Amino acid sequence: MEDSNYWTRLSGRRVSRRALLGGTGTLALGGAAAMVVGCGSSGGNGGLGSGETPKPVPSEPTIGGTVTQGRLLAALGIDPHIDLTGLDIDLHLYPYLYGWKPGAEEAVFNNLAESLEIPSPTEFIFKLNPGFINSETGGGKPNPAAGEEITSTDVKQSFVRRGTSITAPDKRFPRKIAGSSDPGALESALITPDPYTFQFTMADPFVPAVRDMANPTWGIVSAKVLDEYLYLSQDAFGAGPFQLEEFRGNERIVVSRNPNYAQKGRPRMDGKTWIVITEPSSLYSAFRQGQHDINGSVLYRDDYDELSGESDFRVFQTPSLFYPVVHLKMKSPFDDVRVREALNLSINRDEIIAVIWRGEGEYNGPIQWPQQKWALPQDEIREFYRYDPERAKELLADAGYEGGFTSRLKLPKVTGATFIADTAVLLKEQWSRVGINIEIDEVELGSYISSTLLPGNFEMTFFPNLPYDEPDRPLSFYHSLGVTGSGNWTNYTNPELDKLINAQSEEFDQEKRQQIIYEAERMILKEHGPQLTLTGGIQYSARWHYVHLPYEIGQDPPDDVGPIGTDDWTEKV
Amino acid sequence: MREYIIRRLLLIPLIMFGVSLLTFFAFRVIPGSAAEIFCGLECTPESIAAIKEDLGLDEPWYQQYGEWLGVLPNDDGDLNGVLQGEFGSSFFTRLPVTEELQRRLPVTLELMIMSMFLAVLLGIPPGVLSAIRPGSIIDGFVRFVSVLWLSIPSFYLGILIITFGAKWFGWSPPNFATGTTVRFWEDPWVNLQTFFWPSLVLAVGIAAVIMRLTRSSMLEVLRNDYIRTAWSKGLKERAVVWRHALKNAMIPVITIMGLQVGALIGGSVIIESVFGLNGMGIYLLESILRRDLLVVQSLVLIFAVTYVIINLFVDLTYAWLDPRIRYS
Repeated sequence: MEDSNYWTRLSGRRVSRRALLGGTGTLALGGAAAMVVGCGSSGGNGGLGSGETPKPVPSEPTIGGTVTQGRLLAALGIDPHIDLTGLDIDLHLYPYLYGWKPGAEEAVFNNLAESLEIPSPTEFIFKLNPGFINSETGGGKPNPAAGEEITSTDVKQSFVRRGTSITAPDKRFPRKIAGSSDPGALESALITPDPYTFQFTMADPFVPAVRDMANPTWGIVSAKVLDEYLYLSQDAFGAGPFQLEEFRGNERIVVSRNPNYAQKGRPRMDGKTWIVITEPSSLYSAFRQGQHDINGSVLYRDDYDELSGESDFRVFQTPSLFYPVVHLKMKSPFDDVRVREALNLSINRDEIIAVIWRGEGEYNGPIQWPQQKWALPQDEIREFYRYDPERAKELLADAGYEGGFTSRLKLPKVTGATFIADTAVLLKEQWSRVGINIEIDEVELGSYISSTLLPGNFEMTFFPNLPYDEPDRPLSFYHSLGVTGSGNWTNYTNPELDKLINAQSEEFDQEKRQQIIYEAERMILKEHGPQLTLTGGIQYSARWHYVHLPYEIGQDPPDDVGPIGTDDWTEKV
Repeated sequence: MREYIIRRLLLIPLIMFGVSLLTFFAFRVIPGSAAEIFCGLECTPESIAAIKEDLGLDEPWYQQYGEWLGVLPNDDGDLNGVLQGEFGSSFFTRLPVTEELQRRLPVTLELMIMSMFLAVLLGIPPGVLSAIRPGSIIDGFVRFVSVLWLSIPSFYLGILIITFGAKWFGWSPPNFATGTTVRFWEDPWVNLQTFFWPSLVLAVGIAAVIMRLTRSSMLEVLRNDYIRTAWSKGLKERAVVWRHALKNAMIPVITIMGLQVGALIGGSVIIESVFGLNGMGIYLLESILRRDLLVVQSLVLIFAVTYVIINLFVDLTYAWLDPRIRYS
């Protein structure tokens, strides 16, 4: 019988097996990029669309060659601890402790860490693999740590930087290690007994830590590099499978094989190039013309169907973890649960799936539906989120809004993500059927974050949450301390719910955690806010037939695969 | 004339000062700052304050402006601003603006020059033809085309060219494959393939304006007594039209061409994005969205200088077109 506690499974094995770094494009923390590019892993089903006459696949992978991938968003920088728009590139340049299987929710040890021992829920002891040697150069500049091996000191310094940099994302986990936000405390808490052992003890248990350390923001950079370069935004000096050749974040990024790479025979390809084209139709056109080997644009159902019929392409579909939600400010009229329920009952989610997601999608509860281990069963969600405009009108009347009311819905203008505005217009129309008149206020993204979302300057706001593949973050939106523990935009407070959210983040037994999460979700459903979750759709990806990846987005990787990009190969050499 | 030129040139620094001041304050008034955008959704007031300090946005406005302009010393005690030829660095990429300009300016300049060339080519001859044959089929066709060109949004036309170019002719701009733009002197053929279509897209709207203005201006000039005299002298149509009428009809056309430079700059923002050209337009747009103030201030200043100089050139052209015009 399988142990339901993945922590004990991890420690019990003293894991040394190799498996794959999961979540190619999840980049939960770099989701803004993924949102538009349309990449993002999930725990759901991936599927191969086949052409009329599929091209035969050679039995043996070819060594060498390069591939080109389109990119819709410019990469502002490639500092793994700071820049969120270049995280998919960082994965190629730096070693990471381990990877992640999003479906099985397991760490996979195919990278720097040889094993992880967890003697107690708060203690982590990593044994590192030797031989991770820094590249000689990066972007044409000499690597300050050229030829030097990555050791526990480098891991420690990377953790300190990741945990204390001002602009580094979500620092809840490093604060759990330090017991405070003091950088000195974090440094003291990270222990390096020898060059190949790295360990720490958290002040409090924090279950999402295991997932967190596999995120692309936890790249391991040599301490010597960090000493010399305050920012690694435009430079990269790593010990990963590839080394940087050229970085022009809004034009192209070129990487080549790192001859010093620890894992012999990897990477298979000589290099990879990302080409940035910020207009989606132009990017798709470049892919169709064979100028790019891997599609980087938003792929719609029609494109998917078209490409599916051609043997030149390999196409895939996977459930999208992005989940658009409406945030409600807890002030009149939304501080009345009857009003919130009326809003919910007057949303026709089937219509959203039909119109926005072209008929493919499911209802999202507080946790997105592709997180099948944690999301409430679809039947239960669908029953709760039934479309009942008559009941909605009654509830509004009970709450004193017989004739409805007027409110303003603010939403960000995001390039390439037209579904935001489309969904908002559909919601406006649906709510108007019960007398709720919504004025849509589309705000430019820069202003939106700073003047709408962060200060909580909205009555209602519609925002696509990032593609989290762990339940803690989606639930944290309902916590009194806010999603990152640093700001509650909606002013929603529910001490009972806070207790449940805290409890699930400290519960190591998966079954018990699941029950706590279910309880929290059901409590959230009854509250009808402060987030109204809607529906999630399917995302599509495509590449030319001659490019081969060891697994598809949305699938769990096989056990014997190397870190990201190392086992990709192309027939064109 | 010389005095006039000197006076106009002397006005440029004053205009530049005004433009820079306006841009500087405008971007401090609108909501959102680079610090908040940099900080993202995980922000706290403390982290925003720390980023502002790091970026120098916590300093008094006159210090920030003075440092950027190069009239007040920076943290290192140096005068290193616009007046010294340094425009500062991007808050986000930390790359110097001058470095970006070296790569991007040639792209936008080529796009603008080629667009204006095509606009003149597509605008003036049909406009003249239309004017000398009013009411004819040619005139009707030219007027139809001009309205059509004015009606099609440039970004839409660009997307059509990209989409159907790929679908029907298997063609996409060569820079889509490489991510870089080949300079004309490096490979003229590839360069023209890259720039012809975006330039044409930018040009058609302006060509339509030029076409209509040329037609109306020519019609007016052709009714003048001196044209009647030229006809009565027995001059050939080509001489009357091209030597006597067109030159005089060109004054309003040249004026509008100068003003259309602004439209070209604005249009380049969209067209560079559609055709994957990394020029100044897309750089400006990205910088505005990110509130990358030093970049925005610098680019607006450069665009303003360009605009002012082109219009000075336009003013000087009047005297060449009509010797009766005197500047004093």
